[in-house]
Amino acid sequence: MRWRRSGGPGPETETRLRAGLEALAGRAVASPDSLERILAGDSETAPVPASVTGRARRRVPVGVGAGGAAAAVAVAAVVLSLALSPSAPRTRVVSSAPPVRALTPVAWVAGGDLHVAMPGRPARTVAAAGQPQNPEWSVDRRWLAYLNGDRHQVHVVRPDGTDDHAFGPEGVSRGGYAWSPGANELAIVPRTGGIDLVSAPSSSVIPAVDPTVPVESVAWSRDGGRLAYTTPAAPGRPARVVLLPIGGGPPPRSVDLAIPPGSDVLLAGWWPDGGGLIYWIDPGGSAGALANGLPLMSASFSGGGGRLLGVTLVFHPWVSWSPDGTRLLLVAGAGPSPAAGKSLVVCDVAGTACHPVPQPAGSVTVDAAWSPDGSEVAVVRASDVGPGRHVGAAWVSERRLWVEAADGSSAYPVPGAGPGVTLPAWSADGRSIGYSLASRFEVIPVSGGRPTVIASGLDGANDGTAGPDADGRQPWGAAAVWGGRAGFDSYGG
Amino acid sequence: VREGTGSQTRWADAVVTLYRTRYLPMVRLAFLLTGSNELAEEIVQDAFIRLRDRAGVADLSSYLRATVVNACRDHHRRVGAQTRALVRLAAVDATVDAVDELHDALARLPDRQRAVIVLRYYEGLSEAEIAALLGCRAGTVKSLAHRGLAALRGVVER
Repeated sequence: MRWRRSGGPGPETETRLRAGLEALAGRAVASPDSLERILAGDSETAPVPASVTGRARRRVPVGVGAGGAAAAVAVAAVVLSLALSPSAPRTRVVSSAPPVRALTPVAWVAGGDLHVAMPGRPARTVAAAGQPQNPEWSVDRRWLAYLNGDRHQVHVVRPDGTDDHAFGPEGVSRGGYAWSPGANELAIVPRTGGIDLVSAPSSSVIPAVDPTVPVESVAWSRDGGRLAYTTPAAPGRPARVVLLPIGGGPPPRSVDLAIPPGSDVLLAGWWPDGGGLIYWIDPGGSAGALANGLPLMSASFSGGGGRLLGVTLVFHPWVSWSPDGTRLLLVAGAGPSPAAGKSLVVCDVAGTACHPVPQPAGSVTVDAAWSPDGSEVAVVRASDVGPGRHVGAAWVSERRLWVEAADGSSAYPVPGAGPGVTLPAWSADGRSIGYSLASRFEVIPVSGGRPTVIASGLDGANDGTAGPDADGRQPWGAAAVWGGRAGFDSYGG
Repeated sequence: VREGTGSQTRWADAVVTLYRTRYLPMVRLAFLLTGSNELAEEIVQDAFIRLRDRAGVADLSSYLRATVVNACRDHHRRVGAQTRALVRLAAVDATVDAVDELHDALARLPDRQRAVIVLRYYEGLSEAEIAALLGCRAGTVKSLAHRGLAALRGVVER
């Protein structure tokens, strides 16, 4: 089929375009309470069509006069009406003024509910039942996966709360699912064994690994073309690492990473070029060892065994590749407390060269995030309280946002940020940094200034005890899960 | 609302009647124009509420569509550049099917081109009807359609 010489589409092209538009439009759904919302006059503002009025378009608040104060009343009415409507989402969490300005969706769990702020929209609750946990965005941010904490079952939902479906059996742990980096495909690992692949758009489920196979961890290759998984060691049988092609290709194959006998393997990720893996060695599957940190290794599929990168807690945000895929940044240090003995280490891919990143004496450095161009990292820095000391609110309030070169030079605390900063993330343009606090999310220019509140009123109060655990639990309760590869895209001002 | 004044009751009755036949089609139209189901619903709900002040309009259905189209365009004027930047990133990130590709390709179109394409090939309006709705000349509609189709060519012909 070709474009006609006249430059216009042929009938077949028109037919295909009409069919495509029909199929795309068919994805839109109506929420069940839409009529009630209309009849309740549940609206901020509405435009007047110029073609009907014959005047220039304007925006006026519905039911009240124009003007800032009236608009504020209208906004307040929206919040109030949502709060009073039995069919509306609960609004314990709402965005405060200034309103949400995210261009990238952001999700978080607070108060036992899953909340989402979409670009330019007020925050809303998308899942309130079943203790939702651990939200993860799909690669194109059109889907969220989360764990129903009551049933330990994985759900997939659109960011507006529609199309909420449960997939796979009950009995999935936190971190027991992972989106493909290449498609809207989710790998689910039930505790009972096997791996299911869920296609979010079609809701289809494909058993990729037999449920009789015990699977301990999974990791997608960067292109989404392969899935690595591990099986635990058993008497007389070592732990195995298996590479599984997705969507055809060669059969699955085991790779020999020279795992010590009796030790388990927890995958941390693939090499960026797909030529190897990074993983933790878990000797004996001890919960105590896990909580104190495990040796993180790097191994090529071409052999040679693994090289030690450092001892780290099993917390995926603390292990990150540079944007160009040549360096690996770790928050290293043994011990369960983030407030004792934690510092940064930068390694090359194969782990042949690892260098500690200098930090001020008496401090810890955690929550590192690469800038989009890989020249800098944003980190959280606080005092080192020493091993065995209780991490209280005072320490949490010391957590400050710093920016420094990847080698630790040119370090400076970002004026105006925090205190109490958790899990910073860069904007895609490298000009802003977003981070979580106990009760709100903020974004601040890299050079500092007045932060913009993205969402506030969160009740994910820091309890002084939460920290990264073996299941990847987020520190300090509420933490933003930005829906972008580089954290978030950018923010309006 | 139904226990309110006479005009409120008439509005509510009209809304309920129109809702049954036009709500979902309007949400789908707004979805094509904005790319967001959530935003589409809010725009359409706002448009229905606008009917409260337009009880005397003879063709409520056309008024509704005009309100929705203009609200979508108004939205794009405010956030268009930002949205396009977001869509570009998503397009790089994702492996998508044909419908997803059309979604992203539509989102990359300037808002007037997108409106013309959707109104012409989804709503089935004539060039004259589109021109009246968008407040421009029929020749402009033809030109916008030509450019929009050219931009979508790679996706549609794949």
